[in-house]
Amino acid sequence: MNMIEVEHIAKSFGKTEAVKDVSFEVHTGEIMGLLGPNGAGKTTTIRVILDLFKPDRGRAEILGGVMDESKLNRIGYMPEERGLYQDIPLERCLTYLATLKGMSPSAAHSRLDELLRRFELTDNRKKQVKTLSKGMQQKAQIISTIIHDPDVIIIDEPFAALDPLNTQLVKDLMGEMRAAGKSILMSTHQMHQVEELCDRIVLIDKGMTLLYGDLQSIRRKYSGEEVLIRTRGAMPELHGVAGISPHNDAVKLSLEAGTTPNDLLRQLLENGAAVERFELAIPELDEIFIRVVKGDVR
Amino acid sequence: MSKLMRVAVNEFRTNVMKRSFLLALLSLPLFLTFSIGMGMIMESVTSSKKPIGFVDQAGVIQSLEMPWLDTDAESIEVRPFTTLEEANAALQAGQIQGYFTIPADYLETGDVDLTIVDEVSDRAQAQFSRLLRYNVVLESEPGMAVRITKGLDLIVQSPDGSRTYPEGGPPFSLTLPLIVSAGFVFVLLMSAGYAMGAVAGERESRTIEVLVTSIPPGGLLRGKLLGILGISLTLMICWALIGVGAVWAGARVFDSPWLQQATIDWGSLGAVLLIALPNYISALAVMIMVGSTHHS
Repeated sequence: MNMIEVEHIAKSFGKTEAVKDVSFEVHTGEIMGLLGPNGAGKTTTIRVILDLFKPDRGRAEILGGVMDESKLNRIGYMPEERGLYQDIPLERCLTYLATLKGMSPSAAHSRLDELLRRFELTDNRKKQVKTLSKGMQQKAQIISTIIHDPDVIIIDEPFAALDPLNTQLVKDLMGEMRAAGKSILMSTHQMHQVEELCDRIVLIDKGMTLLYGDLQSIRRKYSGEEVLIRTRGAMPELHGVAGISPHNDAVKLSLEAGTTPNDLLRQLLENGAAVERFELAIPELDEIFIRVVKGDVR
Repeated sequence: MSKLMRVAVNEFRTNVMKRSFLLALLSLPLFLTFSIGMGMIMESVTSSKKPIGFVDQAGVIQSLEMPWLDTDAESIEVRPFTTLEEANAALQAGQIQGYFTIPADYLETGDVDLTIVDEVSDRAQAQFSRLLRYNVVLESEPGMAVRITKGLDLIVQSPDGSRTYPEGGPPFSLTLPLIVSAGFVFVLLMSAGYAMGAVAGERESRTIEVLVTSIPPGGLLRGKLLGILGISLTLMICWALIGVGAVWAGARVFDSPWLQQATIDWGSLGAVLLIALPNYISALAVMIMVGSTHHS
């Protein structure tokens, strides 16, 4: 079942087209990465999904229909612009936000105890929010997003300001939520986190969907254009190679259009090279990101 | 508790815990105390209690008694001088505020001269004027002199006689609705800051997006309005309690007859509340909406 459905949405502000044509779906129990450079239209897309903006064209649905009041308590949203009440104690701030998500104060307190313990914030519960570090405030923000056990979580840069330990903590939590059947739409620039966490991604730029699909397929799609080779002794001269660059103990060869990895391997063997390593270079996600956004590849 | 009420309670609690609320709470009593205090100080400064002199060339003032005065505390000493030179010397020496000269043809012309250096208080002038009138009448109608000098002891009353107002300004029951109206104006000024900042503050603290994905915007605004109304009501109740305390102290401690006769005209008070309350709520709602359109 699709928990979020975005179909050809467009949104303009005056003459600025923030989103031109974006489509994707988020299924039950998956983590979807919403990627794109700054100003790509990610935040506007999220705001259209949440009905904070009405789309000029297209359709955005969440939890099986357009956003309405009955769905507010089933959604957890951590916006790009972080916000907690700075002048009140952390506990009061989080309890208030939890009760606005339909929790009773007693249920909110009990769940809060659990989450504060897990995020190691118990000792800070009585402190004013403004006295907490950025990382602590980020953890508090994450708590306020998930405290009411939402079915759909839309989260913008969840790992910002977190140290490796807390990053792992949040990743574990997101993995647990996915296992519990929650759907997560995560907007981030941290590609290695996306590679570790996301089942599928949608990459948008200039308000358009550039890439959409599951991570493995996308990475496979962009492999085959480069190979990693290590030979014992000098490497013979090869045809159909656009560029060579060192890569750890091997070299990475970029293939010219029309040249396949098989062609290269055949040339090596015909030239009597002692091949110790020959593998397709699977591009990292950030590499694909840069290539797609720069327009090298579509 | 509904989300709307939670927003209202949070708005109330957050603002009432601030120091600015305490300032707002004390502002009206302090303002009134300051105004009344300044008035009293000005009165005491401008109302000199120095004696007033006179030179009677017409020989009309035979008695310096002032039997129309209820207490001696109300009187200013009236000092007779036999010659203008003596009166002038006393004035130059600062012993008297000024002196009146009653010319020999006073009874024909009614003219009286007043000689001053700075000014003579209204009270001193009124007192001398009465003393002169008293002495003129005393000679021809001794039995009526006090009555004529004192004038009316006016009591204003309603047609059915159920309400009576003593002379000397409007009664407390008529003044109270005016005070309550002024209180509404004051509380509107005080709560304007809360109203304008209700949503703008959420924008500044960047909580607005989280809020509008938790409660519909209409509910958020109504909750804010309710919270600020609670703050205003708290201010009004505190001011009312301070006012009751002040009336009690005025009546019991300072023996003010005006406050001792204080009653409440519930009809007038109700009419004021009926008009002021909806207007106040509308004004607050407009201010919250204006504040919510503000982009920082």
